[in-house]
Amino acid sequence: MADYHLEAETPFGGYSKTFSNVSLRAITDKAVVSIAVSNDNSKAIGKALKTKMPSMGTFVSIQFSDGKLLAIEPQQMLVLFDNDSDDSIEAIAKQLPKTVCLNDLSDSFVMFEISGPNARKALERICAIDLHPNHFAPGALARTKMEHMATTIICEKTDTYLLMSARSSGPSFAHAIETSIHNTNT
Amino acid sequence: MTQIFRLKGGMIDRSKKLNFTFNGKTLEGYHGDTLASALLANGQKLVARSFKYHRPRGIFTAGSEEPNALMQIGEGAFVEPNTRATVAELYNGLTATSQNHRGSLEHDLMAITDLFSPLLSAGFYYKTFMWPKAFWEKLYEPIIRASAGLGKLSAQEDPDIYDKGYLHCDLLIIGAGPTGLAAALAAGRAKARVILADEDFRLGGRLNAETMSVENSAGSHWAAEALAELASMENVRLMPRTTVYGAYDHGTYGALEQVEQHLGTALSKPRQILWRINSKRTLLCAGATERPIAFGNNDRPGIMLAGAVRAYANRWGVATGKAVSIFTNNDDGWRTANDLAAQKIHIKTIIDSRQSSNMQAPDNCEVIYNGRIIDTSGRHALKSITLADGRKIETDCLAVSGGWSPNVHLTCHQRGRPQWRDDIAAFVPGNELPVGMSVAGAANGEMTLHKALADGHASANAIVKELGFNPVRKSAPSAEDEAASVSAFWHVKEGTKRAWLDLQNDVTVKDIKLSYQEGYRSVEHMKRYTTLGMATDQGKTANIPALAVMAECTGKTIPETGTTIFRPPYTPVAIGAFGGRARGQEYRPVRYTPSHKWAKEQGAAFVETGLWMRAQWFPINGETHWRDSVDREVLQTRKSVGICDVSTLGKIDIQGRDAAQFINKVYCNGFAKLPIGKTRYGLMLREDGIVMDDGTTARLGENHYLMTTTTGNAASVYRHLQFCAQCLWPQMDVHLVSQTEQFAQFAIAGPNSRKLLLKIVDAEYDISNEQFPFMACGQITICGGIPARLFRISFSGELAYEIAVPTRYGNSLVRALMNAGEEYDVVPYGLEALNVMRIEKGHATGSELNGQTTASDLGMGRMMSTKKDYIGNILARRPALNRDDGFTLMGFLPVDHKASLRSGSHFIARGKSEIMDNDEGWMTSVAFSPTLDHSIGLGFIKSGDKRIGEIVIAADPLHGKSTPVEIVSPHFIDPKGELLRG
Repeated sequence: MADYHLEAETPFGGYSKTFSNVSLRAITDKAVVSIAVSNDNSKAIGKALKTKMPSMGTFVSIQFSDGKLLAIEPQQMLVLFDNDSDDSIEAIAKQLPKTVCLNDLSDSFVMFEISGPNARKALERICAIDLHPNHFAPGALARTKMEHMATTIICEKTDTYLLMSARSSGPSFAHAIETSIHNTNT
Repeated sequence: MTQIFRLKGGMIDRSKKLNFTFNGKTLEGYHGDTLASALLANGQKLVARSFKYHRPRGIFTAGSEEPNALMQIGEGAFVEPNTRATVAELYNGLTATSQNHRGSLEHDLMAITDLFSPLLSAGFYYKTFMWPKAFWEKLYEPIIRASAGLGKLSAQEDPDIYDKGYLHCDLLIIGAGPTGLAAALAAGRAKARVILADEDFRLGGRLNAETMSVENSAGSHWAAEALAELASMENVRLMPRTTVYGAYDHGTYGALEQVEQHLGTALSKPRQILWRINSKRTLLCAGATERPIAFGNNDRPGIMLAGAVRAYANRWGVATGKAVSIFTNNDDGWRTANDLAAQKIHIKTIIDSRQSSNMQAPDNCEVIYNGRIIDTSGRHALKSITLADGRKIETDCLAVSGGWSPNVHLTCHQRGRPQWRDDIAAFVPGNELPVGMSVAGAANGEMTLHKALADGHASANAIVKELGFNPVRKSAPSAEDEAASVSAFWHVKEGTKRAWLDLQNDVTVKDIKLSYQEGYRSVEHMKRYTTLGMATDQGKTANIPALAVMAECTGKTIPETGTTIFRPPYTPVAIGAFGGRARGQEYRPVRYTPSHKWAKEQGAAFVETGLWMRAQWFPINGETHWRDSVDREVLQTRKSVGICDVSTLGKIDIQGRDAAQFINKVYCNGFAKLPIGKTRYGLMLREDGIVMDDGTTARLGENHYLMTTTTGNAASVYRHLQFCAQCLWPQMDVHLVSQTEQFAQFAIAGPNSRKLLLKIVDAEYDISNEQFPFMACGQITICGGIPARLFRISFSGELAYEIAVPTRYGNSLVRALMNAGEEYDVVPYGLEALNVMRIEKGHATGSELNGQTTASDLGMGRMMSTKKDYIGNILARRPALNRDDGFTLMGFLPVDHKASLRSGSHFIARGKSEIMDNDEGWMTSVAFSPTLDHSIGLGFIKSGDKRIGEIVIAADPLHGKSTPVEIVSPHFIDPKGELLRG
């Protein structure tokens, strides 16, 4: 038995700020696992997760661990679910057909939830896609870039967005969002 | 002097007085003023000096087309030159300074150039400064540069903040004059998402400057009501102070919004926002710009465009003179006379170039038909005008109207060419508009109010219907259709005085004629020869009259002569606005390694490698030079053990039934038979046979591989693999996921690396040399169950491992490794030591894989499989890439071991001169090897493998250095690889 103990560290653990009309909160208790989807296994995955498979650019909620199934690529989905330990793959694998290729990406992202009446106004400064509710309603997701950083944005509900970007550039990403909020804060 | 020219009325708030200074003099204006209107209200006619001849100049227009009234606004680092006073919103404390003069504005020493004007005609400097050649750089250019240029930068960092943003809409309406407002109302009522943008701080355009009625009420009143209705619509975004400066592909428009500038304080919020507007459709309602008539000495302060004179009276309550005269070729000029007369301003004379007009002149105003002005007088302000018949008329303001030109600029941004319309004597938008753009109102040649309103309304309804909305059944706002007859009269031919066309660049009618005389037939050539239409106003008032003069020269019509087309930006945009937030540390994102926090605690020196911030070396007490640290790190690693964060390497997870076959086609060496639990070095070629990248790939399971890439190529290799999977071999069952971010990875190198690892690897995993030999890999647990991946690979040439854990444990793992290695005097090593050790071992990196080298060049030609197909297979076998005398990667030792080497040096055979004809290769990487105690280098040299022991010269002409070097094996240490297999 090794004598050394490793501590897990979350990016921006505990970060939560409220500005006037906008709140920004780091999400640290979600696992992210990618699922390779093909014509062969799509139905089986949907059945296993008890959901209709989402179409590209959308997500659906799943019953498993308050999860969401995100259709980010034609052959790849991400599943987000409550889990902050190392066994994300094992946890979700139990729910899925054995032949599905999985990849744990829980440590790949920083995640921020931005919400409030001014959230869209703040995101206008860094998000190239149209977030108007007619175009990006709750249930929508998109892969885009914000201040040169690859970002996945999902609209969880009206005026509430989840932003996922690379963990290594997390400080720059957080700064970009905070600056946008500051610049639009009245 | 306190606003002695202020009239009653206007759309200014007289309850809000604003103080400002002009050339140090404190003046007063009102909220709602522009700097120009406030200066005029205070009787300040002389505001600038012209660019070339330093002639006294006054305010000429009331909008963004202003050629004269360019100011420096602000102080210190905040100063902004070339700000047009006509669009600068007045704020309390505004500081304005005139520019382009030596000495005071009134007594400019450089005005002497005007006396030499006969010698300084268009293109003079192309001819004058040709001889002697040597004088150009040392004499002529410094003098010209010192006297040229408009305004001065502070030469300090711009303290203002800028931002960018993205907007989207169904319909972008550019211009909020009558056409734009009518269009916005129609589209907004139909529930389309509308953006209405206008450069002015008060929306309404000419409705604010005219006295005409809309829907039986004052135009400005109707505009205010329309704006109130639009502001109440959730689907409409009003953007005052926003100039749409460029039309780009796919319905994208660039717009600059002045956000805080008009508040005039040092701000914590952005001063300007550069918007990218994505619109499904665009309606250009940019109106029209009045143009002048050229005549002798038509540039004196007090000579203004008639529409501007009217705007100052109606919108800002400012009289531009006490006894005003009008010179016009159209009906519109008469309206200025009537509006001013209604404000009790004395209208002295109306001089109409036409034979007659149906317009009614104000009482007590003389009307002269077929009139021509040939000269003016007044040193710093207009005093009189002289007619062609010799008659002199005392007047302190001359309002000139040469007709109106539609603002077609944005229609040309994608090479659309305007078309001429004789009835309005102007260019209108042509047929080649940017995709999705329509044009309405005066910008489209509908020059009267009623027509403009109707056109805006109808155009918007047609657009929204096309977009699937239901236009509301409501008729267009009604208005009178004013007289707008115009004749094509561009300049007064009588008289001998200089007649100015381009006030900003001091271009005269004579200059255009000279240009033609010297053979410049194309409008574009004329423009460049004379500088007409350049600089901040881009010839908005000058282009058409100049074109007309050129047409006269050529004997052709104006459309036959041609026109210049316009490029973005419509009006100047500060470079700071284009930069936005991307300044200093925010220039680009920064990526941090998992051990960054720990490395910072150790006092590491960091270096940017791409976006990554990597530890370069770890200095300790007593070390005074980076080499001290690096040498120590190398020596200690080779002696015992060192640790380096290598998380930045690209990591691509490859899974699927066809994963093995896929990798086998991507790499040039064989991968089909790689056993589970083994890692192999792979070389990836481009389609053209040149090396793309290298790295190791580990087989973690039957259909599961992990490929590593170089740090710099992580993204491009991943993109390449995706291209292969999606486009080249879509039938393959392969799934790719980038795991670069997912794992923290550390190299543990040195003879004691295994011992160190044994202290953290959980006991059930045997990592002995027998069970976990060189190039082994496996999924293990460490520190009591933490999942990890272990690879027995070595970049340093030592016994070495790379261990990867989920990134969340990275910071903790480096601390654990350092603690565990304490008994072995473990050292952290940075990028420099890593580089030294790989050069000592002869491993290639980006310097060698530079996009020009082949596998053969790298000495890896035999790795290229002959038994399979792979990317680059065919073209790598081109004869030119496989010459017997081709380059080979070799090692280089200085003959004098005390000498240092430089990368980039070129190899020249001894005794030959150091010229490119004798070039035999180049040095790619050099280092001081603390292991060998002298400098070493890697490089490519022709037939290198056959020339071991030969001495050549490493020539570095940039630094004036020639170093004899011996060609040796690139493997400076452990050429047989015994250490890494130990």
